[in-house]
Amino acid sequence: MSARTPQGPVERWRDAPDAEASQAKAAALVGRVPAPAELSDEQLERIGERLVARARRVRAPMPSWLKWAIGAGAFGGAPLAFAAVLRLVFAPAVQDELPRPSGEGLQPAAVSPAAVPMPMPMEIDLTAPGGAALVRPEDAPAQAGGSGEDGLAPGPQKRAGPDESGASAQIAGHGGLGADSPASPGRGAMGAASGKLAGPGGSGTAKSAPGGAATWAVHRERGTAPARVSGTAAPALAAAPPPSPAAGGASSLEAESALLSTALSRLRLDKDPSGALEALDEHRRQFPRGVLRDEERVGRVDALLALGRRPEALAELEAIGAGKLEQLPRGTDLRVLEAELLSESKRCDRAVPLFDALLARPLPAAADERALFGRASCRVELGEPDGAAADLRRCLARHPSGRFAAAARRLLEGVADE
Amino acid sequence: MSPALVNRSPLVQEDAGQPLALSEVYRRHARQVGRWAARLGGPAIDVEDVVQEVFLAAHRKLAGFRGEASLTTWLYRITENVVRHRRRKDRWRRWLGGTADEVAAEVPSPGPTPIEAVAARQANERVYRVLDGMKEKYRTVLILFELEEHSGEEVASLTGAKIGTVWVWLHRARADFAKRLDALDAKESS
Repeated sequence: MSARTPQGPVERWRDAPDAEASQAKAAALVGRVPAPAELSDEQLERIGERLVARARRVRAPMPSWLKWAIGAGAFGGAPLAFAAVLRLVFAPAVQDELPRPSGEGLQPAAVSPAAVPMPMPMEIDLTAPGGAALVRPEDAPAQAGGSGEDGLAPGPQKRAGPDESGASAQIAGHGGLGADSPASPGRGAMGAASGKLAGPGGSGTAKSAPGGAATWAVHRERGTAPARVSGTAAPALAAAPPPSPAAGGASSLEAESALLSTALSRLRLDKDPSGALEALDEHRRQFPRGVLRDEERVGRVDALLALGRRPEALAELEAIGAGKLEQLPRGTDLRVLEAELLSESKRCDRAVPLFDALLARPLPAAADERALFGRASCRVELGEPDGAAADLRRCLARHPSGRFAAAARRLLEGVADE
Repeated sequence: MSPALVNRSPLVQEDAGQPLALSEVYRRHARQVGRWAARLGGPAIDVEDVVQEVFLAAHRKLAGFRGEASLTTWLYRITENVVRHRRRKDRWRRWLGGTADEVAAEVPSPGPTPIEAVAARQANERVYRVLDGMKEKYRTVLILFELEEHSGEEVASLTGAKIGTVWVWLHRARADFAKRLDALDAKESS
């Protein structure tokens, strides 16, 4: 340890009298950070309503005696099973004597982010792969790099490095950043909540128990009431802290992260989609229900597209499912991509409703153009020239110099000739 | 649940022996949890989502909680855990979707504001840009001590570290922060 390492109480950084220049600058910057805005009563009430709705879907934890019984059964040990039964019978007497399992406080799996509506900080303008389903190679407008040899029509390489070209640049193109469309998908699901939690400040919506302590409506409905007992003096707090909430699943998350990191490095830095797929396969093998499984799937879609294995990419997108797809990074673009791949595989009956749903809401420009052109192509396929022409005109009106403008004009001429 | 177990529950402890249900815990502590979430997560975090997740986790884990720590500490650790997972997940999502710099540029602006507010927001974003590259424990200690202005003892209680460890971490965190800030300045000026 450094000799200058403090061993006792220290002043706040901003009050330190003799800080070095760099430390003083850092302290000054830290001192300018404003206090975070407090949650308002309305926000708290909204969260409370969402909590009630979400808590209804929370699976009750498996009783520990049942875990014992299952464990005993799995090992076929009669004595263990007998012990489990004994434990069930005498649970109230012995429960306190058992040590708490390590990391039970809160493991990552208990807060599965996959089950959480994630705030989407952005949407990505995925312009590289999808349109290829609908554009002949010679129709594809010239893009930075990208030969299209693998069947992909390379999109604008917004983040491609200067040394990237050809197929490698196509890979980078999958992650291009586009318009921002923040969303918080989980918030709309609260309308059905019947119970409410009182927000701080007491909005009067909390359900109150006879004893005066408010109870959580969900607990009562599910019969899983939290700790309730006739009031007795509480013992002093134990000095020892509980096991770290992070202790349980941190290592598996690290391992997941490492594998995913390897995969994406191979895909994006080494331009090695095959290698990336191997790492993603390994991830899937090791963590079939991992925290990052959706991210793994998105990476897999990118890798499969880069390899020209488009039907498999489509299968992967379909496996993710529409609901989850929307919550993923580039969710909108992945939906457009799914529709385009459906169209490419001659499944326009499924693609058109997808395009319809997408076009029913505001879209980033690139996604809007792709969706309009994609639906027009499908309508041609389905023998609906009028609808196709309308889409193509809209496409050209909105995106006159867009990526599909030339192809749209040719297609429109063809439709008009018919 | 056995009476002995219930008696040790923080939900009982906090209210002088009276049982407290989670709705009451929420009423009393949601704002504090929101503040922790905002501090630990920085400007890019969705505080409402984190608060919801924290209390959902509390709901799930309530029966298994045995009250070795105070309710505040328990909630803090859940919050820290949720924020850490959220940040980690967001990092992946950013990488899958764009670079951190691009995402930083996408942090929503609150619209026209006085110059002071803009400066404060920029300072905030800059501080978290530096913090986000630091080790988790250093980042946490720096936030709790310098931004939240907890005492060293409070930081030790919340994080479960010894007080001496907190001072060491803080010392290293400051040095690391200053170094990273210098590097960021140098990068931007070049």
